[in-house]
Parts: sequence; structure tokens; C-alpha cells
Amino acid sequence: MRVAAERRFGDSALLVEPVEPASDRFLIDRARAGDERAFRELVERYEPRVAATVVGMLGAGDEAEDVGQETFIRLYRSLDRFRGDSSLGTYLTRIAINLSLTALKRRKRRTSRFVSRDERERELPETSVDPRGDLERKETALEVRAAVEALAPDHRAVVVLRMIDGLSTRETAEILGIPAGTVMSRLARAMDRLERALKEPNDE
Amino acid sequence: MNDRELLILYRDGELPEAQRARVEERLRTDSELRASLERLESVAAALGLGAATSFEPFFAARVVARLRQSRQVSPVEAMYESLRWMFARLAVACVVLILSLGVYSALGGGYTRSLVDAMLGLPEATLQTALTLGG
Repeated sequence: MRVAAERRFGDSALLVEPVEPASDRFLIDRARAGDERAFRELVERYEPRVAATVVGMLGAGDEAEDVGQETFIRLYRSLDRFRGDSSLGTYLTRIAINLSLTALKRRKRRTSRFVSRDERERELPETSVDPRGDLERKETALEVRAAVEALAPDHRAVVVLRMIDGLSTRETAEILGIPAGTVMSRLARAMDRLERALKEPNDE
Repeated sequence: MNDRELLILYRDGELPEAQRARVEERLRTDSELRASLERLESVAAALGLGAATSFEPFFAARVVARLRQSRQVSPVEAMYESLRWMFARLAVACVVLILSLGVYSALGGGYTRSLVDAMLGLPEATLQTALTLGG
């Protein structure tokens, strides 16, 4: 959906080509009023950001897809309460990271009951998110995925938000509700572990 | 703040100018710190390789479909809501009926019996009537 510019020539008004994408505010207002197309545009606009967060936390697959969908459904249900104190991207990232952490807790319970470590490792190839890349890139992506999955959920969240989503330390702290100092100490430890894991992946 | 934290902040441009200049000065002279920064860069680049930018195709369509589905009320939920509506009103009607009968009985039965007996419309119970019923 784009905002069409109206230009007047004499007495006639002409609708010319769209000139700029609709603002988030505009789309939110339309979605609140029940405009499904506006909501869909919001989903398309923020899919990359939510995907980076959710897939970064959970790996690609059905679980990530489900959490991604749920993130937007939660957004829709809270549109009336969304006052715009934070940007929509930050708001969505907060929902996505919280749902992902909940999914990880569920997964841990499930995994400890039913799935062995070997089975988890066999799932790794499905988590590839770089199908167009060459074999080496794909292998590196898988090694990174395995290394990230070996991190504790709170460390993983910091790595995803700070290093994959590219948020600042302050934004990361705000989203996770922890002090900036804690973000940095968790990040430093996580990067240290990732560095060691990626250096010697076979030893992990 | 340890060197690792310092390098992360340096890499992401989050250090104040003076601190940044000090880190750059150290990087010029400290080969170990330089190597540490290079390792950090390589891990950051590797993380970038694994970053997803989308879900499976037609994600937005699936979200909208799920939203529509969640807005539709299932037959079981509809029946549950109907029964809840009906029983809530039935309960109110019963309370009103009981209270009305109670008031009617209390007003029609005089003041010789207790209020509870009167409200429930029970016959006056005396020792004599009790013996009669028992015997």
C-alpha cells in the first residue's frame, strides 16, 4: 500500500503514481480499522526482521514459522494498545524474542524427554538458511547454527539481537529488560564460546 | 570492561571518541589485541552468513489466513457461548422466582413462624404436630 499523491491541474484532480511507501503509523491505523491489506503490508515489511530474530533463536523450520506467525498475530491483537512509545520494529522484536525464549523452554522439556543428542544433530541440515550459497558457505552456516544452538538461551538472545539483528547495546538491553552491562558481559562470553566452537567445530 | 567487550563496542562504533582513540592507539602497538579484533570480525561475519531474511515464501498470506481462522468461532465454541448465555439468564430467573415465592410465603403466612419457615412455605411445627407426624 502506498500513499497516492493527488495533483491538481485546473479543476480536475488526478491521481498520479504512488510516491512514497505508507508510514507504519498509517498502516497501523488502517489495520486497527480492520483493513487486512494494511496488516498484510506490515507483515511483509517486518518479515525480514522477525525472521532474523526467530530463525536466529530457533533455527529454520516449522517451529520458527509458527513463532513468526504468532508474533504477528500478537501484534494484531495488541494494535489497540500499541501507542508507539517504541518503534514497531522494536515492539515486534520484543514479542519475537519472548516467544522464541518460550519455545526454547518448551523444546528443552521435549528434548530432554524424547529426543537424543544425535537426533538433534541430524536435524541441523534442515536449519540451513542459505540455500543459494556454495557448499563452503553452507557448511559454515551450519557450523555457526550448531555453535549458536549450543549457547544458553539468554546468551543466544543477546547474540541474535546484537550481532545478527544489528541492534545497539541500549536497544538490546531495553528489549531483554536487563542492564547494558549485562548485555555486554553475556555477549563477550558468548562470542568467546562461538570463537572457540568455530575454530574447532569437530571438538564440540 | 574487559578487552573483549571493548573490542565489540569499538567494532560497532559505540565507544565515545576519546575511548575510541585510545583503542586505536592500542591496536597500533598491541598485536594480540589486533588478532583478537580479527577473530571477532570473523565470528561476526560467520554469524551474518547464518542470518535469515525471510520465512518460507507466502509467509504474509499464511499469517493473514491464520488470523482469519482465529477470528472464526468454531461450532463447539459457539455452542458453549450459547449455553453460557442461556444458563446465566436461567440462573437469574431462578433466583428471582425463589425470592418472589419467599416474599409471597412470608407475607401470606403471618408472623407466628420463623422467617425462614415462612419464606420456604413450611407448615408451623410445634411439639404437638411433631408427635402427630411421628405417631
